[in-house]
Amino acid sequence: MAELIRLGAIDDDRMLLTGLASWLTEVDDVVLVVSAPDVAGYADQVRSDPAPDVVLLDLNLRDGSEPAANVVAVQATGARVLVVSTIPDADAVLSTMEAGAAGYITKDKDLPILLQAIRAVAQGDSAITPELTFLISRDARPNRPTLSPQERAVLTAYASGATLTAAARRAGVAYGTAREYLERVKRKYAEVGRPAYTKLDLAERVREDRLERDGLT
Amino acid sequence: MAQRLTGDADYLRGLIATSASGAGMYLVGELVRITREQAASGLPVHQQISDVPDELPLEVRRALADSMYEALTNVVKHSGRKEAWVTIVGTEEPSPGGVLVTVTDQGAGFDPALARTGLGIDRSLRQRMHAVGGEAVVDSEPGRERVWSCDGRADPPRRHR
Repeated sequence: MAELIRLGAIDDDRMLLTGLASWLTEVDDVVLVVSAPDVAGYADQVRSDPAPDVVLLDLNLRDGSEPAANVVAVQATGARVLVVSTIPDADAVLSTMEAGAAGYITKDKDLPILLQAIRAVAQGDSAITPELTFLISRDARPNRPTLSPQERAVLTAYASGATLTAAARRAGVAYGTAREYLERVKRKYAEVGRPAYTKLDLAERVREDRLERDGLT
Repeated sequence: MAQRLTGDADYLRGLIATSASGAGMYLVGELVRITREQAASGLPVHQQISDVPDELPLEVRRALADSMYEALTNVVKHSGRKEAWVTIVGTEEPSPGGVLVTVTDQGAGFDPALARTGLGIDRSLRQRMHAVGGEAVVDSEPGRERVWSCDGRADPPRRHR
């Protein structure tokens, strides 16, 4: 049997957390060990217990916290982050990839697709979904990473819903090459973001956020 | 009921993604109508929308919507797949202000009917788009996934063909 994956979920939607828990009762290799409405609540819970392997993090939490800072904070506990959202808010999603999140998936997906993403992330791989590649393929921000024409060809085809096999065929490269292109593009985002999302910077941001929230600034 | 709710949620998500572009909202509305009321009823569609320009002549919008309808109907009838992908994006090439609609299924086993009807659909899509100065590109082979791409724009470039 596959090794047990310890999952966490941070979402302010109670129905989603409950639904997820009941969904997962029928799954053998994934167990929901922590769920919280915000990052602070999550941090409290993992203070004494070991952190989960993978955390599903809602992109835009109701507390208005910055998505990228949330990713860094959760990663600092030792978990890998899979970002989820209903609305694919492009700039926010891209910022979470720059902050080092392992993947992004929209909430309208069926359980098998979500599990596939969770298992990939638990293994140390990325969850590069069509919706994530779509956002990357439409990224027009001035400081976006530079992509090669071939990387772009694979990305665009995969973003339009083609299987990776077909995306590779259309771009004229082998399947393995196409897979590597997607990973490479994903890495470029993390590299662009690295200087901006160091731990030091995070501590500063979290402190500022907290002061702001508590009305102390 | 669940299906209806899912449809509503898709519609709302789509509308938000158009950032209130007129042409975008029209196409998202048509997509919902197609999947809910017409031949493609019940087919789950993964929609992705980005940077759709506001202005697009009605005849171009209609041609794009008709093409979407034909492609999705074809997915339901012949692909054996239970889902499809639709992307609606603004294009800057060859001139700004264009809209590219792409319908993709993820392929299926060989369907003998596809080889015959497939050609008819490809031709009618091309004719439909050419009539409004647009383009239609079809990437399809029996037994493989198919992609229909339809490009329409407000001010079509002259074709030298």
